[in-house]
Amino acid sequence: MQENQILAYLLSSFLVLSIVLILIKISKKEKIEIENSDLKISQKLESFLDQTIKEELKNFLPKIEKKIVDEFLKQENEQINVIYQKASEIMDRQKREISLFYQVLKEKRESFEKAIKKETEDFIYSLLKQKEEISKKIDEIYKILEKEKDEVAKEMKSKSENLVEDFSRKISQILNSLFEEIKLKISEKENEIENYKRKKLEEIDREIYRIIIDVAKKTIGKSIDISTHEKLVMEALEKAKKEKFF
Amino acid sequence: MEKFLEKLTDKIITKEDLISFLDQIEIAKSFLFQHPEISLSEKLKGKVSESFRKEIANLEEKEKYLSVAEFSEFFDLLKKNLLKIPIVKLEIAFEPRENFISEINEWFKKNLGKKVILDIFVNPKIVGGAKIEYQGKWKNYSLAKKIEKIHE
Repeated sequence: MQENQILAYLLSSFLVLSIVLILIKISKKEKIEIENSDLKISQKLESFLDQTIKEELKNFLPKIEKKIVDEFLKQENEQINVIYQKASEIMDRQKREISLFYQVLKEKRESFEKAIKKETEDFIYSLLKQKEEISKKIDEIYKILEKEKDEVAKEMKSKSENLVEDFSRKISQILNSLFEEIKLKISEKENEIENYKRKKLEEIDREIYRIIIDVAKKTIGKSIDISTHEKLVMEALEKAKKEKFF
Repeated sequence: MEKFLEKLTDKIITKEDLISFLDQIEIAKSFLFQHPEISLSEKLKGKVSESFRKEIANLEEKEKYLSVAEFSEFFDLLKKNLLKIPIVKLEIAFEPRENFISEINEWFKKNLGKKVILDIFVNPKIVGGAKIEYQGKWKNYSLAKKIEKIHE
C-alpha cells in the first residue's frame, strides 16, 4: 500500500515538472517570435512575465498535487473495497468448506464409535462363550493338581523320612565320636588329676618329713651338751682321717 | 732364729690369729726404720699385742747384733712361712672353747704331722659333728646329714 502511494506521488511530481517545462518552452518561443518580429519588448516586461509565470506555477502546483492525491486515494479505496469483497468471498467459501469437513468428521466419528461398540460387544460375547470352556479347563487342571498334590505329598513324606533317617544316623555318628572324644579327654584329665594328686601328696609327705627333720635337728642340737659336741667333732676328724680325706 | 720362727708359728692356731699376727708384722715393719737408737720392742709398746711385743723383746735379747735390715728380712720370712701353712675349714654346731681349739690343733699336729691353721665357722643347723674342708675338698660328717639319711 505504502509503495503504491510513493509511486503515485512520484508520478504526479513528474507530471508537474513536465507541465512547467512545456510552459517555459512556450514562453521562449514567444520571445523569439517577438524578437523576430522586430517588436521589441522591454526588459521590464520580460521580467514581469517571468514573475507572473512563476507565481502562477506556484499557485497551481499545490492544486495539482491535491488533485493527484485525491485521485490516488479514491483509487486506493476502490481497490481496498475490491480486495475486502474478495476476502469476504474467500472466507465464506472457507467457512463452508470447514463446515462440510466438520460434518464429514462427525459422520466418520459416529461410524467409528458404532464399529468399536460392535467390536467390543462381539468380544464380550465371544468371552462369554469361552467362559464355560475356560471353567472346564480350570476344573481339569484343578483335578490334575489335586492328583499330583497327593503324589507330591507322598514323595515328600518319603524323602523327608529318608532325610530324617540320614540326619539321625549322622547325628548319632557325630555324637558317638564326640562321646568317645569326651571319654578320652575325661580319662586323660582323670590321669592328670591322679598324677597331680600323687605329686602333691608326695610333696606334702616330703614337707612333713622336712618339718620333722627340722624339729628333730633343732631339738637334738639343743639337747646335746658341749662335751658330746666336742666328742662328735673329734669323731668326725677321726672318720675323715680313716677315709684318707687329709 | 729358726726355732724362734717355729715358736712364733706355733702360737698361731686359728685364721683370726693369723690375720691379727700378719697385721702386727706390718706394724712392726713400719716402725723398724724410725729412731734406730730405740729398740723395736720399745717402739712397739702399745702398738701391738703384748705377747707379740714380748716375743720381739726376747729376740732382741737373744740376737743382740740384729740389724734393721736383718729384722726386716726376718719379718718377711715369717710372713712367707705363715702364708704357706695349710688352712682347714671346720663347720661345727657350737661355739668352741679355747682348749678344744687347742685340742683340735694338737690332733692335726699328731695325725697329719704338720701345722695347720683352723678356720672355724659355727652353724647350729648342722646339729652336731662337723663339715670339713681341706685343700679344695670337703666332707660332711654332721648329725644333720645323718638325720636326713634316716628319712631317705
